[in-house]
Amino acid sequence: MEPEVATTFVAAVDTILPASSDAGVHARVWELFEHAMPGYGYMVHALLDGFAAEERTGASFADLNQDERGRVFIAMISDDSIDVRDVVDGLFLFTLGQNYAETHPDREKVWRTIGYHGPSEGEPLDA
Amino acid sequence: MPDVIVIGCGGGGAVVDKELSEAGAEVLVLEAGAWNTNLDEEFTRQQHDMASIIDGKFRWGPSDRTKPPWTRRRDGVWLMYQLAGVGGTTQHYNGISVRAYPEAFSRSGWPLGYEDLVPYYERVEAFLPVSQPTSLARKDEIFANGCESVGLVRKDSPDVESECWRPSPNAILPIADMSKGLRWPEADGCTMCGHCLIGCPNPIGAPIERKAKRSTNVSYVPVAVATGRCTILPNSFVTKILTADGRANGVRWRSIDGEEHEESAKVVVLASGVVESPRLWINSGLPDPHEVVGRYFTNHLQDIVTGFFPEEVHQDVGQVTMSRADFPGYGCLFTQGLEPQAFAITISGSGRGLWNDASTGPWDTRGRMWGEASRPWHERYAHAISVLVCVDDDEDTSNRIGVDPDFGEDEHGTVPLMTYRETARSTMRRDWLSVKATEILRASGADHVHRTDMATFVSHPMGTMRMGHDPKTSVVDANCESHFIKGLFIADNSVFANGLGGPNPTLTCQALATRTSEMVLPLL
Repeated sequence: MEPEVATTFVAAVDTILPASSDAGVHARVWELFEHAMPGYGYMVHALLDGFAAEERTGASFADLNQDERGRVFIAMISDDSIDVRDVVDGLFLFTLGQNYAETHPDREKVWRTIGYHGPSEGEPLDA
Repeated sequence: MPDVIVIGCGGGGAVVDKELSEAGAEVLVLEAGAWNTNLDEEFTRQQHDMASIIDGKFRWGPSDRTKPPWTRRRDGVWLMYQLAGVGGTTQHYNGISVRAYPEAFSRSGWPLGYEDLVPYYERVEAFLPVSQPTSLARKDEIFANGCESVGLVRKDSPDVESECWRPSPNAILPIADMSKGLRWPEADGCTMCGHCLIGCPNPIGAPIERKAKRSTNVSYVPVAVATGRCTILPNSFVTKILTADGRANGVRWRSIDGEEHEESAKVVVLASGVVESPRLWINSGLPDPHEVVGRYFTNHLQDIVTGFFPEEVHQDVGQVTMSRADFPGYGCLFTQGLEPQAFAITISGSGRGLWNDASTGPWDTRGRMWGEASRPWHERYAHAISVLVCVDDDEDTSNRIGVDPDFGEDEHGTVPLMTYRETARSTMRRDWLSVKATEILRASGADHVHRTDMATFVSHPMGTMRMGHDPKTSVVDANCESHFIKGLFIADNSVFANGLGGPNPTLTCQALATRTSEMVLPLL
């Protein structure tokens, strides 16, 4: 992933759930888009920057503040094209998933914080 | 040459495999996905590894997970949860095994009555087996108390004629005695791990036919294989149904190495599911003089309402669903214990709108919770109970599965296109049930209720190859044999004439598949 593309993905995942990129979630989200369809990650980058330029002339998605990025998401999720809406849906789905799945580098701490037992062989009711 | 070729080994196809091979038929089963037989190793109980729609074991795609998932085009559908592999979608289902509401059979289209299906329901319920849990997990106790508080009465009859709540009839073995250990043979039955949705390997060490959740890969398939007359070929994607003189006489399929194969049989049973069955029909060039193939796509138009409680309720403990409430005429509600990945997506990533859309109902928040303000809600995971809303969705002729020639072909032919728009009546029922779920959660003690207002998520697809007497409005007859191609039967959710009134579809699919097997036998 080129640096400018990485910057866009960092901005996107941190808008959905701040500090996600600290755990490398942006890289996993990129990989999932690319796994779904080679080249998809670049399309996500291009669409986010394209809609960002409509929100603020000449700006990239990463240049925007949190409110402006939110308005970009709203504009994209209201678009007539399912392919544009899928970008926002995919970003949400993958970002949230990677924050709480076993792929998170600090998963034991994350699960302990929220009270999830993790992969389990059984949970006796009277335990 | 086999007597019968069955296309697809999911919730319905596996039933046909067992019934026909036990009756003496030679059965060849062609399944598009993988065949997991060492569940202790393969079902890892890890959320992403199992459930990722992109690269998880439970995805709609080839068993080689380095490859992309298979393509489906969508119009009006946010997400469809469909998976390939022996066991099909029953590998990830909650195990809920409820009958249709009887009144749904008197409404439209069905060429048989509810009472005709009851003996087949009873056979499937006895075989799996289906039972109501005798103890409830905390989340389900709380939900049940809320139901009682709003005036719902417990009724345990499998035939639901009026609104009620009940411990959920599940195809899950009774709760194990875990006092001597969690592994088999010390534990024999459900160990309440909460992993139903991402694959049940428990009790660890148990032979496959004693795994707790009765997906067809651990229930019907082992019995079929044990007859010695059922051959299952995984990683075999059927691309054409072959016919001669108006009769089905074989299939063509593509194996994972790209090789094409053909085989003949006296009878072909199509059990590929609500999307792939009409796609295969269309791509095979089979007749559709009234343009009814793929129509009446129905979907239970779901939503999720989540209550947050002051005390810990541990949604990750117990079977995913152990309590439910039924509302004939509207649909049903049931508890949905989620793992953290699915929970975060439920409250933050699957709403129709974004953060806290203008709320016009009794819930406190609605839509997608996201940004910094969402994290505290994720961190209340252990305090949350989610309730799934399943609507008595209208069957509508314009909702359909077709193919998308503009998009082109993948290695299996022209890709499918699913089109869905909810009717005003389905929307009204969804709102009504979401209000009811909110009342129950508040009566249970929830201090905050969030309605996801979920985008169109398809996990209960039905219709598209519906059964009926009239060839102008149905694809198969009362025996589930095609009106226009003799010797071609269908045994999946696609034959439903409507959405059953809202209850979960798998048991009805399996009852019908049992009945269809009886219709096939005289032809062999």
